[in-house]
Amino acid sequence: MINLNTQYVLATGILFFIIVDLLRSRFSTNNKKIMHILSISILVVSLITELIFGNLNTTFFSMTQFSYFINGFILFLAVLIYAFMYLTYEEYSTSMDLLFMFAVLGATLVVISSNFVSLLISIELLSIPSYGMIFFEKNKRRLEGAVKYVATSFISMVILIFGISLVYGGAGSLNFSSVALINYVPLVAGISLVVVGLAFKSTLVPFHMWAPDVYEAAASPITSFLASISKAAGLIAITRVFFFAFPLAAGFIQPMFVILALSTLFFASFLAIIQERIKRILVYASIAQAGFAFIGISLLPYVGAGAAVFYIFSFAIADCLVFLAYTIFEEQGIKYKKDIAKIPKISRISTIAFSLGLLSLAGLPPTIGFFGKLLIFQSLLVNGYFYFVIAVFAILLFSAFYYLSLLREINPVVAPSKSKYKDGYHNLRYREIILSVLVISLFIGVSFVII
Amino acid sequence: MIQLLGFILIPTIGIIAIILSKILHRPLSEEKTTLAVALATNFIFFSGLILGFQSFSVTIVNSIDFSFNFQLNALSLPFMLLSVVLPALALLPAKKEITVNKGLFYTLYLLIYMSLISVFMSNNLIAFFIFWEIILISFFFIIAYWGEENRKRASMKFLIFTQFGSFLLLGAFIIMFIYTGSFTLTTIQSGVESIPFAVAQVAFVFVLVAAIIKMPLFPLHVWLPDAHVGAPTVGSILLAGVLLKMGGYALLLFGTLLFQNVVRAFQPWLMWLGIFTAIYIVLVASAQTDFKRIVAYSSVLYMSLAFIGAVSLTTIGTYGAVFIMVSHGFIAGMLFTIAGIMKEKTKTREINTLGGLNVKMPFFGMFLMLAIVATLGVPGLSNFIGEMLSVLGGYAVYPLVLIVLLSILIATGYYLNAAKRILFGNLNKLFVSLTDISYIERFQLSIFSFFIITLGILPAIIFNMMGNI
Repeated sequence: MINLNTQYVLATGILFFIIVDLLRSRFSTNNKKIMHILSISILVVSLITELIFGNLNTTFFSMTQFSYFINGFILFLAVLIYAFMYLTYEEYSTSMDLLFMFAVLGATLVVISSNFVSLLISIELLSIPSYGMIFFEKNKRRLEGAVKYVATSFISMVILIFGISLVYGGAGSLNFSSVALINYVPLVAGISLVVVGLAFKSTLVPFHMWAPDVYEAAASPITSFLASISKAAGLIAITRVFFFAFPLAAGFIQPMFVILALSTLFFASFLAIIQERIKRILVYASIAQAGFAFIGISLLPYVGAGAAVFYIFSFAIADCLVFLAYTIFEEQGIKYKKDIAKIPKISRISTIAFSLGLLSLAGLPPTIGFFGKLLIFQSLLVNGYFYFVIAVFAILLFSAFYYLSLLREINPVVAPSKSKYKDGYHNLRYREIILSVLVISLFIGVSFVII
Repeated sequence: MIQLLGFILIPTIGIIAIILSKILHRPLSEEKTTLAVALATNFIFFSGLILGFQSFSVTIVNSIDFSFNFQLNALSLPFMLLSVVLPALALLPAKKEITVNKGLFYTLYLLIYMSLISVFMSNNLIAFFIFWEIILISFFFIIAYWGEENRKRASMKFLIFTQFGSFLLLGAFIIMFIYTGSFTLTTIQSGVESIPFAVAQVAFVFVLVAAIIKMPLFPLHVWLPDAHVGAPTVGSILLAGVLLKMGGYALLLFGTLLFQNVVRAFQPWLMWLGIFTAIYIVLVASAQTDFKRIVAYSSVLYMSLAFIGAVSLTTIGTYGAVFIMVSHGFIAGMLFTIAGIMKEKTKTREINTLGGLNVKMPFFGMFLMLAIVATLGVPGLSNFIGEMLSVLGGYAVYPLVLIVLLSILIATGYYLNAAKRILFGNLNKLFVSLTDISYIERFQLSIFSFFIITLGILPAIIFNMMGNI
C-alpha cells in the first residue's frame, strides 16, 4: 500500500480518464457531464490518498516536513476550483479536464522535487497545460493571453535551464542535497539565473510584466488557478531550492532577495491603486502577495521555512477566493470599479466572501492573512530589521487603501434580485457553497501555523 | 461568580439571531435584539461587580502562543464599565438614524460591542489585537455606509491613520514576544526586565505613536474631526466614548506601566507634548462654529489631560488618567447625543444660526447646560475629579504642567459661548414650531447625567474597581 501515493493515483486517474474518453467517442455518446464528474472524483480521490498515504518518495522526488501540508492544500484548492469551473461553464471539451489534471499533477510534483531536473520537468508539466487552459474559449483575447504566456514562459524556462547548467558546472551535481554541500563562488551567477527563472513563474517585479495581461485574458476560474496553485507552486519551488540546495549561498544572495521583495511590494501596490478594472486590481494584489511571501523566503536561513510556507498557504486561499467570487460578478457584467456598488444585488454570499477575501489579503485579523503577516513581521523583527518593518507597514497601508476603497464603494442597501438567475439559481447556490467552504478555511486555517 | 466568556457569548448569540432571521426570512426586530443583548450584558456586568468575575482561557495555536485568555487586570473594570454601558445608551440615536439595511448595521454594532468589551479583558495580545482590529474595520464600514456628509473620504482617512497605529502596536507586541517568549500579558509583565533598554525604547515609541494616533494627540489628530463629522451620531458616541479610550488604555497598559524607565527618560518631552496639544486644540476648537466639531476637538483636550496623568507615572496621575477617560466617555456621549438631537430638530449644527432654543426646549437646555458644565470641570461633577488628579499627578513630577490649566480656561470660554448662542438670545423664526425632546430621550440623557453626577460625588466607585498600580 505504500505505493498508493497521491501522484501515482493522479497519474493513473489521468490515464484512466483518457481511456474512458476514447471509449466514449467510440460509442459516440456526447455526454461530457459524466467525464467532468469523473475528473472531479479523480481529484477528490487523490486528495484523500494524499491525506492518508502522503506523497511520492523516490530519488528524484523526496518529501520534506512541509510537503504533506502543501500538497494537501494544493489538491484541496484544485478540487474546489475545478468544481467551480464545472458549475460555471458546464459545456466544455474534455481536453480541459486533462489539462487541469496534468497541471495539478505538475504542481504537486514541483513541491516534492529534490533534483533540478525533476524540478524543471515538474514546472513544465505545470506550465504547458496552463497555456491550453488560458486558451479556453476560442476568442482573440484568450489567444493573446495564451501566446503571451507561452512566450514569457519559454524565456523563463531558457533562463532557468541556463542557470541550472551553470550550477551543474560549479557543483558537479544536480541533486539538492549534494549542491547544498558546495560553497563555490561562480555558483552565484547560476543561482541568480535560477532565481530569475523561478521569479517569472511567481510574478516578482520586474518579471511580472506578463501577469496582468495573461491573468486578465484568462477566464476567471483559470485565473484563480494561476494566481493560487500555479503561483504557490512557483514560490514553493524557490523555498525548496533555497532551503535545501543553497543554504550557504542564501546568506550572500539575501540583499538581492530583499530588493526583489520590496520592489514587488512597492510597484504592485502603487499600480493597483491606479487601476480601473476590478480584475486588474486583484491581479496586482496577487502580485503584491508574492512580494510578501518573498520576504519570508529571503529570511529562510534564519527563521526556517514555516513563515514563508504559511504565508503562501494563506494568500493562495484568499486569492483563489476573490477570483472565484469575481467570476460570479463578471458574469453579470461587473468589470469596472465604478460598477462594484451593484454586487450585493447579484449575490450576497459572494459579496461577503469577496469582502472577507480582500480583508484577508489586506492582512486584517482574524483571517489567516493576518497570521501570515504576523509570522513575516516576527521573522523580520527577530533579525532586527526595524526600518524594513516600517517600510512594510507603509506598503501595507497602501494596500489597505486600495482594498478598502474597493469595499467602501459597495452599496449594501440594494436588495438582491433573483430574477436574473431563473435557470441557474441552484447553480449559483452550489457555487456559493464552494465560496463558503473557502471562507471557513480563511478562519480555521490558523490551526495550521507551523514554525 | 460571572464567567467572562459571557461577554463574548451574549453578543454572539445576538449576531447569530440576526443572521438567521435574515436567512430564514423570519421577521425579527434588529433593534430589539440588540437592546436585549445590551441589557443582558449590562445585567451580567453589574452582577459581576458584586459577585466577582471568573477568568477563562482556551489555547488556539500553541507555537505562536495564541489563546483566548480573558482575565481582568488592574485597569480593566473602569473601561469595561464604559464599554458595557455606552453602546447600550447609543442605541436610541441608532434607532432614529439607521433606516436602511439594519441587519448589516446591527451585526457590525454587536461585533463592535463584543470586541470593545473583549479588548479590555483580553490577557493575550494576539486576541487583543484581533478584537482591536475588528472594531476598526466595523467602524470603517459604519462610517462608509451610514455616514453623513463626506463619508467616503472620512472613513478612508480614519482607516489609514488608525490602521498605521495598529501596525505599530503589533510591532511592539512582536518585540515583546521575541524577548519574553510569550504573548500573554501577565508573562510579559513579569519578564519585561529581559528587554534591553534600546529595544524597549523602540517598543515604547511604537506604542506611543499608536496611542498618539488613537487618543489622538497633536500631530496625528487630523483624522478625528472628519471622522466625527462623517459618522452618524451613534458612531460619534462610540468613537468619542470608547474608541479613543482604547488608545489611552493601550498607552497605560503597554507603555507607561510596562516601560517605566523609558518613560522616565522622556518625561519632560512627553509632558510638553500633552501641554502643547491641550493649548493648541482649544485654540482650534474656539474657531469652530459646528457644534459637533467643537465637541470633537474638545475630546482631544481631555485625552491630552489623561495623557499627562498617564506619563506622570505617579499613582495619583494614573488614577486621574483612568478617571478622566471614564468620565469623558459619558460626557462626550451625552454631548454627541445632544448634537444629534439638535441636528434632527433644527436641521443644522451651526451655532451662529441657532439661538433661543431654551424657550422652546427647556429640558434640552437643561441637559445641554449640565453636560457643558460637567465637561468644564465644575466640582461635584465627574470631570473635575479626573482633571484635578491628572494635573496634580503631572505637577508632582513636572511643575510647569500647570500651564495646561490655561486650556481649560479657554475651553470654558468657547463652550459657554456655544451654550449662549444655542440656548439664549432671540429665537430664530425658523424654530418657532420646535417641540421639546421626547420622554425616551429625557430618560436616555438622565442615565448619562446619573453617571456623571454619581461619579462626581462618589469617585471611589472607579478607584475601588481598579487594582494596585
